[in-house]
Amino acid sequence: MKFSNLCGIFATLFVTTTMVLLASCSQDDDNYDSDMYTLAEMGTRLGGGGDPGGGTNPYPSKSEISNNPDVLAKMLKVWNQTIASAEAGVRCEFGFYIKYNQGVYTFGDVFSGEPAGHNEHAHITLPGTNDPAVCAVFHTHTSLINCDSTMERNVGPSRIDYRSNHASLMPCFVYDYQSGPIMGGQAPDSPGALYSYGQERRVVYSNN
Amino acid sequence: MKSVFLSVLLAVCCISSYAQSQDLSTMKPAKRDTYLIKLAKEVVKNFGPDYYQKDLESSIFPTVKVYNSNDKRSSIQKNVGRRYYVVTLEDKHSDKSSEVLIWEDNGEPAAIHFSHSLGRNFYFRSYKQWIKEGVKDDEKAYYDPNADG
Repeated sequence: MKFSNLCGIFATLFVTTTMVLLASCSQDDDNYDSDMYTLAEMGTRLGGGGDPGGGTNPYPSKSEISNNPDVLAKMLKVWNQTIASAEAGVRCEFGFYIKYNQGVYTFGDVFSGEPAGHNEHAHITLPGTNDPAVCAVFHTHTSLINCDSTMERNVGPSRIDYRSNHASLMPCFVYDYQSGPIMGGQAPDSPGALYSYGQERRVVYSNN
Repeated sequence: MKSVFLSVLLAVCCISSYAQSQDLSTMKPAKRDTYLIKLAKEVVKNFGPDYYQKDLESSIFPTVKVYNSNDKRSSIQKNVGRRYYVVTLEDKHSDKSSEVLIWEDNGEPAAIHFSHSLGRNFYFRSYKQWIKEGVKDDEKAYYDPNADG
């Protein structure tokens, strides 16, 4: 093989490797992928086994959590509470911690954010916790049923959700409308959907 | 009389926005991109002054999107099928960001969303009309550094 051919092969390999590395870094930096399950899909997912993997990490994965019927039922109940509250004129987000211990899921108290005015952004900040049983965090986004028609919101996790401390530590779930953007005065019966973001499993540090 | 006419002309110029009716599909890419970024910054300044800075980092989504919505209201449905650009403006020093949707066929803003996803659309009230009538303080988005999603 000629020396120039060898140089060509090495150059190609170098460029390809660099491109692959750059692409993977870019994905890590953005980390904006969100999995969405519609209610219909969730129905078929009920009772699913999930991935038992995770090595020495004792916490369940996103799919293990979202496949659990008790967890799903709790999320749906709080989503319905969010919609009912908005329809009654109190637009606020709700949220809670999901806990896991030896195959059993339990839930922290349900908190609500400050009621938002017609033109205001609704948000919720859950109180901090050191509870080692916490495996994930859940919150809802609000409806714009009683808002001005010029108000508009993208659905699913917001940029602020993606960049939250919770997202860097554990799986996060948000219940929101299935398709968007949604606008003020929307039909109240628009279907909802569960979105996930954040870590695949709760991060375990060496001092845990 | 002449001074009255000049005053009226000046007033009209002052309240007019950068948004002009023009077909962006016929514009040269460099000129179009300059227009999109300048208009997007103007929309942010008007509807989310907290999110505006002179050195905002701007990017334009590489493909033109096609508008679709399940909302059955006529003011929304009349836009289905229209093409639009998405301009993202980010503050390098914080988590503030905005995205402005701009129609391709007339170069006017369609909507704006801020980092927390909430924003305004211009389907029921055009951007130009809104600017002409004035944006009230409670119609603007404000940044809350402590707000989670």
